[in-house]
Formats: sequence, structure tokens, C-alpha cells
Amino acid sequence: MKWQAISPQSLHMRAWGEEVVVYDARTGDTHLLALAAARILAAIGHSPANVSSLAQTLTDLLPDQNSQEQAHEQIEAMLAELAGISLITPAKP
Amino acid sequence: MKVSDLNPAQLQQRLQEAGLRIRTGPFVTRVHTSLAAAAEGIGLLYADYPLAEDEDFADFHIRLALPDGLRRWLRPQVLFLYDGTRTFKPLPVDQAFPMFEWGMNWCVSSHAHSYLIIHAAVLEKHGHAVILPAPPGSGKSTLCAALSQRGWRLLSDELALIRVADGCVIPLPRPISLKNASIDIMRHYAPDAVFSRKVSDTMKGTVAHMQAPADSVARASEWARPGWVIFPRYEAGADTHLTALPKAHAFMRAADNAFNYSLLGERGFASLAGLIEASSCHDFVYSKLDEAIDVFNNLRPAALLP
Amino acid sequence: MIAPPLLLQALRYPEQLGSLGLADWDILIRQARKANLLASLHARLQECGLRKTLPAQPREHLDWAHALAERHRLAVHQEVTLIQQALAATGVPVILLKGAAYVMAQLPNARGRLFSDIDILVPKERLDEVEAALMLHGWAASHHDAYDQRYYRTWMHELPPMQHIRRMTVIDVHHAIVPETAAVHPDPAKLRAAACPITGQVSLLTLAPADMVLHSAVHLLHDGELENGLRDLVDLDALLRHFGDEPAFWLRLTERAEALDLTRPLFYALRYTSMMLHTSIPPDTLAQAARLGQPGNAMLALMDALFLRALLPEHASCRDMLSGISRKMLYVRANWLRMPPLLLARHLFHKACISPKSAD
Repeated sequence: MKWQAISPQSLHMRAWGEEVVVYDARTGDTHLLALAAARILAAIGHSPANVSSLAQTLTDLLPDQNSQEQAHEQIEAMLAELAGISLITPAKP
Repeated sequence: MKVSDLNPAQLQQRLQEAGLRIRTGPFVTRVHTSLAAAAEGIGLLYADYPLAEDEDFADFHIRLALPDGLRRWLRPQVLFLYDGTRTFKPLPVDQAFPMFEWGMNWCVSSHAHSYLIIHAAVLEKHGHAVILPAPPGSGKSTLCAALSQRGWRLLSDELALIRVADGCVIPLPRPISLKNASIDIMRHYAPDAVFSRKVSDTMKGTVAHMQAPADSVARASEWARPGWVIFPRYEAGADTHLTALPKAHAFMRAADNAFNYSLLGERGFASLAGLIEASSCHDFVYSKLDEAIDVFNNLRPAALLP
Repeated sequence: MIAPPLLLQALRYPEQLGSLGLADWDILIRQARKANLLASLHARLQECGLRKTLPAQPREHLDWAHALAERHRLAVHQEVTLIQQALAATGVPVILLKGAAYVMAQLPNARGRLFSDIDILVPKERLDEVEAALMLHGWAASHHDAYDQRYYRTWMHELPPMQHIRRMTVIDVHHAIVPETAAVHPDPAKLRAAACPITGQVSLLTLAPADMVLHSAVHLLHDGELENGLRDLVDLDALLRHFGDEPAFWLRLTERAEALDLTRPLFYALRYTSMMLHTSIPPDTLAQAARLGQPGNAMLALMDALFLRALLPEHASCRDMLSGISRKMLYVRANWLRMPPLLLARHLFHKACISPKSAD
């Protein structure tokens, strides 16, 4: 399943170290995200993506000893959270 | 011309008739009152402030008045009127001066949306501002008052104004509000400072106001650059501790403490991001004032660090 | 009558404000703020290119109001989107009314406006479905008092306002634009039939231009609280200027007023916008509106005296002796228009004794 950002053009981000603050001009909400989650958001804001392709963009951020399965689990969890705060939604097929 | 250039009779006449126009930082306020408690506090704590006699435009129009009816005489109350509208519940007339101060803060924090307004104390040294955001009970006012007496220029004890257009920190020096134990602590710490009389049984406990140092009032038009954002916490018996705070966390906590971050939308985000980017951010725990002052006096702006 | 306050002059001819002195700006800013028109004044000055040339202090105050209004506009967008999502499954056509309509249709009077509730119009027979869908998505009924519930559902033209439990925003769901109990009965089916889609918005509609003006006229004259009276008149003025560019609009306006039984409100709306705001209205239209809806001379004189005072900003600089009385009389009048006298007495009495927290 692919995911897309709900309103990528409304998003403003600032990164400091391992964390990113995100302002969504559509809702007026401000979020604090880990760098990995922010990168996922930026990636699917650019074009809808599924877990496998996202895993490739995050290789430098996920610990080396993670199996692919663990990495996918972590990404699924982050996607669920991003959906929970209304930043992303499943892409229409 | 300053407020102190008026004798008490003249001050009273201005307040009762045409209104007293005072400049505080970037704002001109026109004040009307016939209440002695208010006039007394204003005359004492605003002695050094410039009168804006020749100014035709006032930003805020305030009146402290007695209500009509029973509460004018029986356990008399005072009303705060913002351009003729009652904005708060009445308070006992004894609290007229604290009400004036709280009302003045409300005028700015509710309206002045060309600034990102953070609920924080803010002081300056060598052109750089230290911003101390803090929810009530953090000991910010005591710390602010002490710093203002030990070489830091007071910009404000309650309202940090970050100009949205350019990120400058704009002074709004006004009397420093102190509560309960801090009042006597500061009297002891700064025996030569001018204090209003104590007012008890307010919603914040016993309050008093300390006059802003004359120097900070005189330099109210000198803006400052961001320097530090430090979240203070007083903890009895604790060791003095300044710890680095990740900037993204500092951002979220500062946003939480801002009056109009959400109102300003995208520009609020950009302003706060600019402030945090340009500032060194920390948590600060203290119990002894002198040690706290030492830590602050050893701060160096990030820009100057090797 | 007292001389037109600065605010009226400013609204009529904003391009003349370039030469205003600071003492007058002080008064004008305060009148505008009191009338909830400070941000609208900013919009008008921006439109005629004067904002940049103003003295710094009044410009600051206008900018402050603008910042607040912009935030409101953003909030309305968000809220309407969420309402749309909540009601999508019902398939009910949702017509936006008043401020929400102006914002989503990007009409000029959306700029500088502050909002409280979102108002929508749906068919009466679909009310239950709509209420259920809203509740499913987090809106809760207010006004739990059985009398209030009956007041709204039986006699008024709307559900009791519903508040979203998390966002605290309020939606008013109407099935007509005038209460059931009122003397005039503009047919909601006619309004819905003429409703127009909003470009770029799926499944959202507004009233047709003439109907939007007539609704605004009804609201102005039938609403009990006149605090926003001048603001409502400014809205009407903006709508008339925007739609009035098209010549066919004016004929349609008077035709629709007749079809919808709203000739009296139209008469007053055109009369007071032209008298107070100098809105430019074709003489033919004024004449036709008078033919269709002008009351007798005595009533007209009374209404003029009442409205022209009560519509002034409620600021100390705008009062004369009669203003307070005018406002009170109009409040009673407005309720009289909405409910027959017997019901009115009972309603006010009930409100006074049983629901003191919603005191008028």
C-alpha cells in the first residue's frame, strides 16, 4: 500500500539535530517529529511511496543490526503515527 | 517630560480629566482614573516614564473606575475598562494597581500581533537577550528581578516581544510583579529599589511591584538580538544547574508559552524558528539567587563562542 | 441625528483617509474595533493602495486586526473541510450560508471578517441524518434544556447549535432562512433549487447571488442582537457592489424578493446601505423595491429613527440620548418578527426564569 501526504504544500519544517518541528498551514497544527519520521513525510510528500521504497531512503537512519523486517515494522509504526496526526493518508490506487 | 515632573495634584488632575498618556516601550497608553490607590501606584512606579503629551494617537485607552450601584460603596470594587468595555470581573478596590498592571499586560498580549509574544521574562546584556519562558511558579519573576539589579537590562518581566518583521527583541520595561515570599527576598536583595505597597488576598496571593530600573526605562527604544532561551525552575535546596536543551524541544515549549503563536500561523512558526535558531537553549534549575546570577554572568552568546 | 461618525465616512470613502490626522485616527481605530470592522477597514485600505502610506501607529493597529482575521479565515477553511468530510456519506447537498460561504467562494467581504459559528442549510427532511452524521464525527448537541430544544426544533429554523467536543467549534444547521414562526415564508425549496456550486470545491454550494443578498437582508433586520449591525450592513454593501457589476443582477434581485416574500427586508436593506454607506444602487431598483416593500410613512419614520441610530458603532463617540433605547426597541422588534406575540412573551419569560446563563 502506498501512502501520500495530505497537503504537502502546506508543510513547513525546521530541523535541529535529530528532531524536526513541522507546521501544517492547512490545520494550524505544529508537530515534533524524529528525523526519520520527518524524512518519511518529506519523501511521501514528494511522491506517494510504500514501506519498501521508504526503507531504502532511511538506511542511514535505521540501526545496522535491524533486519529488514524490523526496519519495516518501525516504518509502519511511524506511518501509523503520522496518519494519526492527520499528516498522511493511504494513497488512492 | 516624565511622570515625576508632575506633582501629585497635577497627576491626579490628568488622570481624572484628559487622561495621563504614558509611553511604555513601543506603546502609548492613555489612563483615566479617580482612584487614589491606582494614582498612587502609577505616580510611584512610573515616575521615570516619559509622558506622551504631544501624541495624538494612543494605542490603548484604559480606565479604572468604581462601579455604579451598591459595590461603589459596600466592599467597593474596581472595574478595568478597555476603551469603555468591561474586560474583567471587578476586583476589590484595594487591588486597583495590580489590576492596572494585569490589564496593561492584557492589552498587549491580546492585540499586538505584529510581535510574537512569549509569556517570559526577558533581559539584555551586550546587545543579546536572554528569554526566560515560564509558567507560574517557576521562580522566573524573582530571578528576573535579581538579574535586573545585577547588571542585566530589563526588557520585560512578563512579555517577550519578538518583532515578526525582523526578529528583533523589543523592550517593554514595566514594573516587575512579585508574589508572596519573593517580595521580601527582593527587598532584602535590592534594598534601594522602589516597591509598591503589598496587596494581599489577590488571586495570585500577596503581590507587590518593583520599579523597573531607570536605565532600562531610559533605553526602552534599544532593541536586542536573540541570545539565549532558558527555561528556569526554582527548586528549594537544589544545586544550580544549566543544561543544554535540544532546540526542537525548546521550540515546542516556547510555543506552548506564547500568547499568539497559533494566531500568527505560518509567520509565528517562522518567527519562533528564527528565534530558536539564533539562541542557545537551556534548562536551568536553581535555589540560591547568587549562584544563579553567577551562571548568567558567565553566559556567552553562541555567535561569540569559538 | 448626529453627524456620521468617522467610521461611516471611512467605509464610504476609504481613499480619502490619506489625509486623516492622528487624533482622528485614534477615534477611527477605536470605532472600527468596537464595531468589529477594524480588519475590514484594513482590507479596504489595502485594496485602494493606501495602507502603505498611513502613519505607523494606526497602520500597526490595522495590521494587528488583519493578523487575527487571517487566522479566522484559515480556521473556517479547515472547519468547512471537516464538515464536508463528516457529511459526505449522507449525500445531502450542503449549502454554506453567511461568512462560511463568503470565505469558500472567495468573495471580497470574506476579507477582514471574524467568525463565530459555521452556518449551513439542508433540506428539512434530512435534518435527522445530518445531525446523526455530525454527532458521529464529534459534534455534540448544546442546549439540553427541553424547552430550548423545542424552541429551536419547533419554532426556529435550525437545530440547536452543535459544538465539536475537541475543537470547540460550533455549527448551526438551518433548514430555512427565517423561523417557522415568522410572518414571512421564503420557500427553502426555491433557495435550494437556485443554489450554486463553488468552483474548486466538491459538493459545497452557496445560495445564488440574489438569494445571498436577500438572506443577508433578512439577517440584518430580523436578528435580535444589533452589536454587529453595522458589520452586517458592510457585508450587504460588499455583496451588492460585487454582484452589482453585472446589470442583470438588479432585476433578478427584486424578482427574487417577490418570489421569496422578502420585499420588506430588501426595501430596508437597500435603503440603509445607500443612506449609511452610500452604496450605489440603480434608481430603478430602489424605486421597484419601494413599490414592492415600502411600509406606511409612520412605520418608515420609526424604523429610520431606530435603525439609523442602532446601526452606528456602539462606541462612546457615536452615542446620542436615543441610541440605547433604539437598540432595546429593535431587540424586541426582531423577536416579534420571529415569533407571534404570545409565544414571545412566554419565551422571554421562560428564558428569564429558567435559563439565567443565557440571559439576553
